[in-house]
Amino acid sequence: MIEFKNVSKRYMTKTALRDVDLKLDKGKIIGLVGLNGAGKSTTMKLIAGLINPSKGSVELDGEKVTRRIASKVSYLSELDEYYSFYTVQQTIDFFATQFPDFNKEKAEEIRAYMNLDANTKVKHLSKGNRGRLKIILTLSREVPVLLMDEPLSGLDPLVRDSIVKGLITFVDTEKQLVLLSTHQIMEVEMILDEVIAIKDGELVDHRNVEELRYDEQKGILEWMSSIYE
Amino acid sequence: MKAWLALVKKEFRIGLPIMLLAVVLFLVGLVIVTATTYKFGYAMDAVGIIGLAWGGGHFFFMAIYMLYSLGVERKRLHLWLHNPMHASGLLAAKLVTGTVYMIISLLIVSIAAYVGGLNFVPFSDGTWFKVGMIAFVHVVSLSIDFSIYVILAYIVFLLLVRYMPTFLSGAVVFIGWWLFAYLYFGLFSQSKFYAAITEWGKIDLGFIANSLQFDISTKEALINMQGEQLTVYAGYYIIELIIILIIYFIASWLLDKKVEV
Repeated sequence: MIEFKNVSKRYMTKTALRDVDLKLDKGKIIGLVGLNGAGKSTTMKLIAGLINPSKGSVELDGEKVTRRIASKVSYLSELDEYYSFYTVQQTIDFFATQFPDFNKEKAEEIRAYMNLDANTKVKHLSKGNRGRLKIILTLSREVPVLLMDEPLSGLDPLVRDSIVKGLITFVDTEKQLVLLSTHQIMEVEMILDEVIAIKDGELVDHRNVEELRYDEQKGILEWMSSIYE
Repeated sequence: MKAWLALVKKEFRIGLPIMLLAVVLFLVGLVIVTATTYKFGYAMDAVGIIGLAWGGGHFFFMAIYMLYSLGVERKRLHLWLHNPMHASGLLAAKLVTGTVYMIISLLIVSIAAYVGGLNFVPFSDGTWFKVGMIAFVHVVSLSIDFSIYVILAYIVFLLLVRYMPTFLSGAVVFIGWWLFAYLYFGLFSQSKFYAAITEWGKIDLGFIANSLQFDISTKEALINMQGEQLTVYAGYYIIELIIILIIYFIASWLLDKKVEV
């Protein structure tokens, strides 16, 4: 479904991603882990078509990824910037107009589940509530690929818990692929099917979480420790 | 189309401060000038002068509008560019809203220019309308024309800023801008080749005032109108339209394919 063919990404002298070959299939929730600056956000942006590879190619269903792949990919940025003059409801309505696959009923369901007031202006939302809004906007799209860059970052445990539960509840695991980058491994471990480790721009391992657990009797954290130490 | 119209609606909200600023600045200027000239009995002349000057200044309206609007998006490129719409559609939404706001602002200014101008410009109603329309259409179209060069410059800035500091990127674009202006307006548009491709389809506009000379003191206000028999070439407008469409295409292509978040 998603295929990286010998992909590198350089910014001037810094190499953010180096010679990455990767295949991801639909119907899975995949964790992307690594230290800060390892290349997780770069990987996400490459799949979203928001940056271009310096070398190699990224394909989605055999189609070369460009910015306009947004019709098939829902991208949650690590940034919190939204149009501050809109209310929560207006932001949802605006997204619904921009993406034909946006399910407004689902958005309303997730909004109610997340307990987010529809009439609050985005500029008045707390960081936690902006995080919830991002989840609503991302999960309400009925697209094959959901990319979530640090959806749990900087949020308190209750918000993180509601987001993880929201993922289980609102993602169609038959049809959608979720790629999730996070440092909160413990909180997402139970929902991950696969995990990918990136270190210094290189893909160091790509494992099935269940196999890791049964074959090597390792949790993701232990597995990460063995890679990074 | 529904998606684009919703985008236009959003752009109206983003660009509103620029329209309000233009109108408020004009009204403040109008009040100050009227108050200071009222006791000398030239208040209406002053209203006309400030109306004409502010109206002419609308040449820069679209450029300022686009810089502001693109500046707002720069903080949330991940949001603006994560959209299946072609970049030309994203930019067109901004151009359309900016143009609507400019026309609203220019209409307000035109009322002042007309009401005040009646005092010192001895035109018949028909001539007022004709001159007013020509000036209005030219200010609007030249402002849009100029703003498309500004869009391209801003997109080049967005490209450069990925690889060098913001100040340096701005400086490179600024220098590039003046170099381009010199090559295009200083050399190319003065060349025989440019004249050959643009000077066709002559249109006679009749006598048009093209400058006013003001001599204002505390005792009197003298205003001399100067003008000439004006002719324009359809070729000039067609060629400029083609050039601006090419620039717009390049800007859209760069935004679609090269600008990174």
